[in-house]
Amino acid sequence: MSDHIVSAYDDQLNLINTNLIKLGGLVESQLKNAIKSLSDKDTSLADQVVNDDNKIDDLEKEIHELIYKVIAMRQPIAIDLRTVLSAVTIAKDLERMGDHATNIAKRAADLKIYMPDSPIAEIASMASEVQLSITKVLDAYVAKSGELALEVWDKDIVIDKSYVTIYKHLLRTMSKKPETIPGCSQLLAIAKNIERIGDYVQNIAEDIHFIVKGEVLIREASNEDDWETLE
Amino acid sequence: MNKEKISANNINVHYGDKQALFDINMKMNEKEVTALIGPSGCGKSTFLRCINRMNDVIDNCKISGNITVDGHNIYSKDTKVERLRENIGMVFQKPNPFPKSIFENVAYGPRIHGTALDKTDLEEVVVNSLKRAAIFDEVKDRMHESGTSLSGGQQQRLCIARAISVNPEIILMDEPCSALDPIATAKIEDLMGELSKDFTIVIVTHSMQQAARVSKKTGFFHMGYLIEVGPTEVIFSNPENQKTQDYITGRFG
Repeated sequence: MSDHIVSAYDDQLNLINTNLIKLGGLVESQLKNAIKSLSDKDTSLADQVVNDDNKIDDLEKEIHELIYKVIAMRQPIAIDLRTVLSAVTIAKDLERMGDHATNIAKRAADLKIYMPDSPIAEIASMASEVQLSITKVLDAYVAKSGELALEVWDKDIVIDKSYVTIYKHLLRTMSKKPETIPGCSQLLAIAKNIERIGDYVQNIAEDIHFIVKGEVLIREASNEDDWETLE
Repeated sequence: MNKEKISANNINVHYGDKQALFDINMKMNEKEVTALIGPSGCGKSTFLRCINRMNDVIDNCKISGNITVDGHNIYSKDTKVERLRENIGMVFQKPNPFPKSIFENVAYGPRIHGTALDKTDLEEVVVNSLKRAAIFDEVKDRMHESGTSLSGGQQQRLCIARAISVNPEIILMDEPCSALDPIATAKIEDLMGELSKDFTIVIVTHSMQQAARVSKKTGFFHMGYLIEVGPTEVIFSNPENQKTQDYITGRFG
């Protein structure tokens, strides 16, 4: 797309854009570190994740201020309006994703509780799927690619399925070995956090679709989660 | 949706050798505001002036195609241009009240067209027109002062009162607010909303926000072509054509 006649307008939009990408990068590394702290039982890394959450909160506020300014000064319309409106929700969603990463780290830091290893490995693998989706959704945002955004959107079903599998696994473990209940409950909450992050990624994919196509994405998710067969 | 009032069919306009409009096809609905937007020289004012045959008076201007109002071709031989312009009022960019009293400015039309029955009727027409143009309260005690003594915004509303005094069905407005401050502009825009209950309004505007605020339908002109026409909310939120998008978002002009 060509530039605006008023170059200061482009500068403002570009600044919002680069900050959003920066925010996405922060969230990526927070989730990565949160999971690493869980796998490696590294409490200092977990603490670092908890402490770094304020960087995300600050950047989100900064982005909101920039958006507020550009709306007041430029009254964006059409694709520009969709871009700034979506930037509000994308920033908000990224901030929430950061909160979930922090919550994972808080739970991971609780070493007094015994957590079985095998579900941790499953959780780490689910988290790397989500990591991949975050990277892709940020790529889709940079490229303003509706197609790539749809690809990411569709991927959420895989993440949801992993969650159901982990959920069932943990439930089985808890019923067989009641002494694992405290640790498994933590892992259950961690898995839920990751699953929620996946949902926010899906929201961002919807926003990208809206920016590019100018219409709200209406897409049916094939819901094959089989909660009935829980043993 | 309201019924179709004006229909332009394959309108081509030449000024001498230069073609100003290319195959314009556009429909405008009754009792609705239609906005024409586009950069300077795009042909939007030329098109507006085709609707009341104002271009007829320009020597080297040639027009082909036709425009119908209520299905009647206004370019047919049996069209009486004076009668046409009585039915299609016009408001210009710069307020142009006659150097006469406020009362006479509005009484002029009904007087020359002979539409007022007597003096009382004429007075009633003047008062009603001023009321409908939302300026009566501001001028009721100074009806015999000169129209040119009013502020710019008031003068423009006086011109609107003058245009509607002969009870036209259509009002054409050529950048009616470009010489006015934001408050006077807001008053005119508010008035347009009110007037569109009774009149079909076609407005040429350089203010995209104004088009977005006042109109139901918008046509975007560029270099003599009608690039895109559609519901205003679509044109300003998600236009189909890249040129329209670039223009309304300030990417070229």
